Amino acid sequence: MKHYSLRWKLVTWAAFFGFSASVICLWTTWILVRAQEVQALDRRLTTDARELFRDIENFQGINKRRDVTERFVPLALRDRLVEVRGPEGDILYMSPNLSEPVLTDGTETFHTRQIGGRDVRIGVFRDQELTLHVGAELKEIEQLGWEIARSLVIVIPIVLLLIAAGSWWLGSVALTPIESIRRAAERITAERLDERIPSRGPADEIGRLINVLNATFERLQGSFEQAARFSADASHQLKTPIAVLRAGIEEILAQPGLSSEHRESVADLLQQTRRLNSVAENLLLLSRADTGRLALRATEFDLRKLLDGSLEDARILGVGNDLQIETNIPETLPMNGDQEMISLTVQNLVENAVKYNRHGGKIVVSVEKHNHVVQICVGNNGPGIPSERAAHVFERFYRARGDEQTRGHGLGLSIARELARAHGGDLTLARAQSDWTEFCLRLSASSIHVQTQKPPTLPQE
Amino acid sequence: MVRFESVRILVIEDEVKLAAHLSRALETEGHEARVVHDGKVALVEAREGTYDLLVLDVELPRMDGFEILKQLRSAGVTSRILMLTARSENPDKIAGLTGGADDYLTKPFAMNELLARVNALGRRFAVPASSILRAGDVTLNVEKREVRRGERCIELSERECALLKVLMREPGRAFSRMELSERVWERAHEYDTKLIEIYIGRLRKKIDEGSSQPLIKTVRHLGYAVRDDSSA
Repeated sequence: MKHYSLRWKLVTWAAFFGFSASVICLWTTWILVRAQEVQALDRRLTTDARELFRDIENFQGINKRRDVTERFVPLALRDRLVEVRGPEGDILYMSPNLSEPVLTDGTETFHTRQIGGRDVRIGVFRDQELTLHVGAELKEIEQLGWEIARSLVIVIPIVLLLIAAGSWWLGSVALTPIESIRRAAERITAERLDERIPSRGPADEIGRLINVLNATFERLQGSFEQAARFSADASHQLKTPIAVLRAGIEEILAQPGLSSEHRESVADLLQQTRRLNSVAENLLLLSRADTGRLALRATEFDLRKLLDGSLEDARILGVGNDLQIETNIPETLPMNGDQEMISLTVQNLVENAVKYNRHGGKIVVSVEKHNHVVQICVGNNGPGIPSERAAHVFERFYRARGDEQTRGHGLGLSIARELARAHGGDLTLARAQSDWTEFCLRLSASSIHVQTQKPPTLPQE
Repeated sequence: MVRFESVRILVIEDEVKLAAHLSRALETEGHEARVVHDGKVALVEAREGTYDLLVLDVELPRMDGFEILKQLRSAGVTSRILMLTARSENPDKIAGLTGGADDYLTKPFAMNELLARVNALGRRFAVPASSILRAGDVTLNVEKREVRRGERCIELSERECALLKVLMREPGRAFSRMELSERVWERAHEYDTKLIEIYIGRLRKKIDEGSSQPLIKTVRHLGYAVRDDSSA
């Protein structure tokens, strides 16, 4: 349903407009036909009146007050409502189908009035002394209206069906190229960046859309390849000087004549090269993740063992801070994924829980497994993360507390999140209250997602 | 300290300064080192000279390290090969090792680490992939996370067992803290030296306490090794 929503909308709107148009059309027809019919009736009433005048005149002779009887009303007018009044308005004749003199006080020549619950068309005619009211029921005309209404019941569904079928067909004609564009675009992002959407002949709206999309893919491929080349070049260009630096510093440190003062500052330089290398490594890892070239090596392993190791580290590292560690982890947690990458992610979370905890705080590690998804939540009594900063914790080089005192360079969480996503999972900040911070890591326990993380094919350097 | 025999080494590294540091350090250690900066020259030199060991960089002008490795192995050159790579991604490491390299080291590396690996390669033997490891009178059962020393049976934690396993697979070989961190914590950078020292301390307390012959030795300026009785 969702897939065809545009088509369904098209059909619904077309049907709505089709329905409205047919109703308006038939209504207008009805009004015109009715007016026509009433006019024709009026003409007939005029003829009737003329005939009556003549007959009455013949019958009355010179006594204009003489009552008129049934006999003088022509047979053809027996179903008409007739009232004849004398010069003083006295009733000279009232047709038997009238129970009371109701046709009086009409001044207009023709008008329609309700008598006894029925619509009646009345004509008022004057001839010197006499006033003649002739009426006819509008029954027949109304019947015609009902005929038209009845035909609506049959015609409208047919019209609607035709409109629906037509717009459905039009919709598929219009949407098929869009659907094929979607499929092609999907293929391009997931598999190969050098593929393009096949262009169709005419330079119509769809043709132009294809051209624009292909140009976008062209640019995307360009920057993608550039980024991939960058990460390969950068790793060489960054690490070679660091390697020279490190080897040089170590050579100085190995010299026996070095004063202890110098030795200390040179040792600090060595420490700085290690830090520099660590940042370079992390940036390269992120750059590989960004270009989708994070090559994962899936193996079977027990996540439980990996967690045990990390928690063992946490117990050692947290001992000075008097930390308590609580766990709720299943006995075994078979996983299929890149053990090294997952280990890095888990260690990052556990180390953060130690690093940002308060004295005497608690660390709670709980693991749940539903079907093929493992969720690892690591909570700690950290000082919390203000809500305006919570949205940024996964950003690169971001430090939630804005202090430069804490160890690390603000890449750990963004790396952890990239690694989790590469494993078909995610890393989220589940809670950031004033005394409780909790991160939850979701991982797919099978390597299905891992295998689809194929690096795009790139030209060799 | 254990005395290592001199090894004839060809250093293939295009970065002149790094190559100079390497050859100086190797010579200080008592080895014989020759330096080549170009890939194609290196291939000829490695094929014709009789070197015990090649220190082979991956990124080289004219021919890269993987290609040299491939050609040397298919030409039947049996020298030990230690790859140096700036790329620390897994696939590269795997490519290097399955392509016939004996060991790899990622740049930047500690010189002591390189020397330790060179020394280890000079006398490396096939390590059986057994779940029971022995060094002197100590037996480690990796499956059960259990150490036996004489009559005593000691249970180990996850990390302690992983650490001891790495050390005991190659008795006598010195492991730097960085290499231990890479093998046990699976991360070469950002490692916490303090943590390794604490685990070593725990292992010593569990295994070596009350014993006249300690199993785990500290190798100055480098790291740790377990006692190797066969060469002692």
